[in-house]
Amino acid sequence: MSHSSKAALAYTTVDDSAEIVAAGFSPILREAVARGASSTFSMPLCDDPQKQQSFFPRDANFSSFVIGESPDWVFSGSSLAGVVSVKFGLPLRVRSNQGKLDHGSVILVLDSGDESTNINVRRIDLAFEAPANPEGVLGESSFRRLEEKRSEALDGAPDEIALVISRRLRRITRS
Amino acid sequence: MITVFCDLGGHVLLGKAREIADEIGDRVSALTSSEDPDQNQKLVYLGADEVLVSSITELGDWVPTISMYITSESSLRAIIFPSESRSNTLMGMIYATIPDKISAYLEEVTALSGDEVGKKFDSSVMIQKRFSSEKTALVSLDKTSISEPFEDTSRFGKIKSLEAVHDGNRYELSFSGLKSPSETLVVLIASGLSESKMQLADRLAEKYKGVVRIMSGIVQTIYGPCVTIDVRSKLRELPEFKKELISISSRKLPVDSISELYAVSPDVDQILKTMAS
Repeated sequence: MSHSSKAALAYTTVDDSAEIVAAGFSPILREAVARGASSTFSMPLCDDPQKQQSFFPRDANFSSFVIGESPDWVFSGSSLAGVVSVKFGLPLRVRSNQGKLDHGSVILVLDSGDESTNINVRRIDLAFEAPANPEGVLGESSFRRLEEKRSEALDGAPDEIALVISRRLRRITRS
Repeated sequence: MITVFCDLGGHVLLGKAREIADEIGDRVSALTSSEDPDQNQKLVYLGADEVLVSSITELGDWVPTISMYITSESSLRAIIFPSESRSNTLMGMIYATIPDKISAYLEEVTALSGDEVGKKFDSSVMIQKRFSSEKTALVSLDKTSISEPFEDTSRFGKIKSLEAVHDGNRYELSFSGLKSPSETLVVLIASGLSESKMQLADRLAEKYKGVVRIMSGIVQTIYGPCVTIDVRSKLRELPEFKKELISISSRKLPVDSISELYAVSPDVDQILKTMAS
């Protein structure tokens, strides 16, 4: 399970009364139950947020969709949240990983990257019993292997080093 | 036609769009909500053949306007957005509105040509999607993967208005002042660092509107670009770094081996002073 999905789940489980359906690719669903989800919904993994949302359960009346911002996947939670917001006609809310659950909305949870809550060991039996039907991976993307990246060492006087790093920082932060 | 979404700092993508358009014999248009004539003329100097000005006041209002623009422009190869959370959400909303008109969808693109886009999926794999001639690709480009565009004041272009479309729906795109962690510089420092180095780390983070984090087991993933200062941890103890990593230290350290750039110097304080000034 990606760190961002753990953060989204931790955000959701703050509301003790919420019934949480973990929707996603089968390999992560049992962990989701161990982390507090009430039930699971298996979906294929798609390389496109529009196709991904088409597999979301339609027959249940969900009060909110909670989506982590940075899953380790081709598209981000931001894109998926935008798609789901339009398709389900719900307003989009953006939250840091703290605060109360907003009902009637799509919630994009920003992930600080800090340690997430641990698996609840009392839920492990429940997790083993949860259905997690294997589904496929769908998409039209192609993959190409990249050359291995080498680290670049800097040497020289401190001011010269500072100049090179500053230039790089300006570029990567666009400031 | 290649169109660049110039709000949210997207104007810096015009140089790349111009380069591709010149290669394949296509045109570049720029979408903006700015009604400042000087700013719009600047978009021409940066590479736009035409600037389309729309009287948009809220980011979400772009959803029906761009959707209509895509629907009415038959030769629109791609719309390029600057990659960040708000524009990726905007792209997602547009995609959901007109899914049948979209050929390819990819965010945080690091490689762009006239017929395909690609992004680094992890350090060793590039994922690619192809454009189609009948539909439009929605692409957000990693601004740090391209060089700064230059203004050529001899360029000519038209500035036209693009009617803002309202379809009766409300597209909320409010991030209420929250900055995405993937867009924030992290200065990661070793615990127990001297007071002077900590102050310099603070100043450095402040200069780049970033944050200082102390290396500990709490930090598990760093989504934004990162500078480490004297972080001596073993590789397995380090957080996962999602973006560019730069290491500065007084001696060679394990983190150097996974950094894009590293500097080993006995005078780390002086390096930080110069960088923070």
